[in-house]
Amino acid sequence: MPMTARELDSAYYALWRKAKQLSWDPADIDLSADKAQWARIKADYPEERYAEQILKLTSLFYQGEESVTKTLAPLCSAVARGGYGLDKELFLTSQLYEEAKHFEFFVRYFTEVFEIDGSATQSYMTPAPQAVLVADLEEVTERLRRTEDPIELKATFAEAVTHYMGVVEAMLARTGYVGARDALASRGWLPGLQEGYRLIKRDEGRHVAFGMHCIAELTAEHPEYRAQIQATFEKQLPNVLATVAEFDYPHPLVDLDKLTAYALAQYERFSAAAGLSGDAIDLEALAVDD
Amino acid sequence: MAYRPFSTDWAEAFKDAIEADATYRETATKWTWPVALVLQSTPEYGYPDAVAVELTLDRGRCHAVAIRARDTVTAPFVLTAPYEVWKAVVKGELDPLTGVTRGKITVQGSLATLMMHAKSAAALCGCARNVATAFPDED
Repeated sequence: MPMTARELDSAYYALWRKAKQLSWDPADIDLSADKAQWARIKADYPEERYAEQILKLTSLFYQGEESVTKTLAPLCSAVARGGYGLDKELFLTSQLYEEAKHFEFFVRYFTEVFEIDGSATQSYMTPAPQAVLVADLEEVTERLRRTEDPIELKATFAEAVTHYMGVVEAMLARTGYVGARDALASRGWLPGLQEGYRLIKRDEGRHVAFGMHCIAELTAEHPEYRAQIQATFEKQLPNVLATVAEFDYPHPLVDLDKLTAYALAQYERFSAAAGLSGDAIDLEALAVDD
Repeated sequence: MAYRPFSTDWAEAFKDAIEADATYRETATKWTWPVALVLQSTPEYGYPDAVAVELTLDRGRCHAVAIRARDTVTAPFVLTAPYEVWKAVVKGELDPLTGVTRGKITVQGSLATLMMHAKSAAALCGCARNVATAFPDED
């Protein structure tokens, strides 16, 4: 089936083109300085527990990226089965490729810099991040995968987009990458990790923009979806806030107030896109490559 | 004159401060629900039982205020905290949202709705800073 003129001119297709232009390879990031610095951070800050905080933060990113890599395929499949548009299908193929690269970056970082097996990341998965990043995301995407009824498929797709792009990517991932990179940059630490965070955050910007466009389109067509979108946020907000609170150390590495404010700003934007707040949002002005 | 926090006089002064606050009026144009602020039992400072200030809020206005026992509160949003946390909020030393996100203030009601109106919640608590307050632990 050929692409329509509307699809070729859509925001989704523009995001797909941007994804191709901004491709990067995790294997190209220089981690040589990080290895030496990591040994010093571990040795020099026992009271501040900075090494523990960096390890915990990076572990949640590792787990989160693994989870979103595993759970995106049902969204791609739903778009194809529901006939929601080739432009969306194209973009989601780029996202699937990018999520896999993000996970690869963290696998590489744990192996080459932390010199520990990725399975160690599981020890940082307390109930809140385990629920929002893994268990509940698996539940909704698995439900999406099994749904055959076209009406139910679309409603479940909206729910999955809200959890995946609205909660996990906008409120947690993008927020976390901003906070983590700021924390490392202000100390001049771990330049390879900073660069990874920068590139991943840039990719996540496109993913979140895709989600916001989708949710605006879906709720404009089906205002009744808003109740489920609100319910998804209602269920996951405590998990998001509890995950952020995991980094409330006596000597916090990240600025928690800034982090929380950023997460809530992301929530406000997504809610506005869904028409939940009554505020207008300029979808065309979404930053997709910052 | 300074009032004892969570007393009837203090609650009335709080209402007046909300009504007089231009920032709150501009920020809370979409907030339409009553809110109760609950002080947990603090016998050492003269609060043998939990006590609530229930505010009838609507689009930037505060139409009524009442002091209630905790179990008679009917507001759909109930924010509960111990004495030292409310004291820090009233003094402007703790942002109420920070209190919520760090688990110092517990919320009953729709967290999603509250967070969507985070700025108006902060502006509401900001009004408390304009109330002359006599803290019993500072007597």
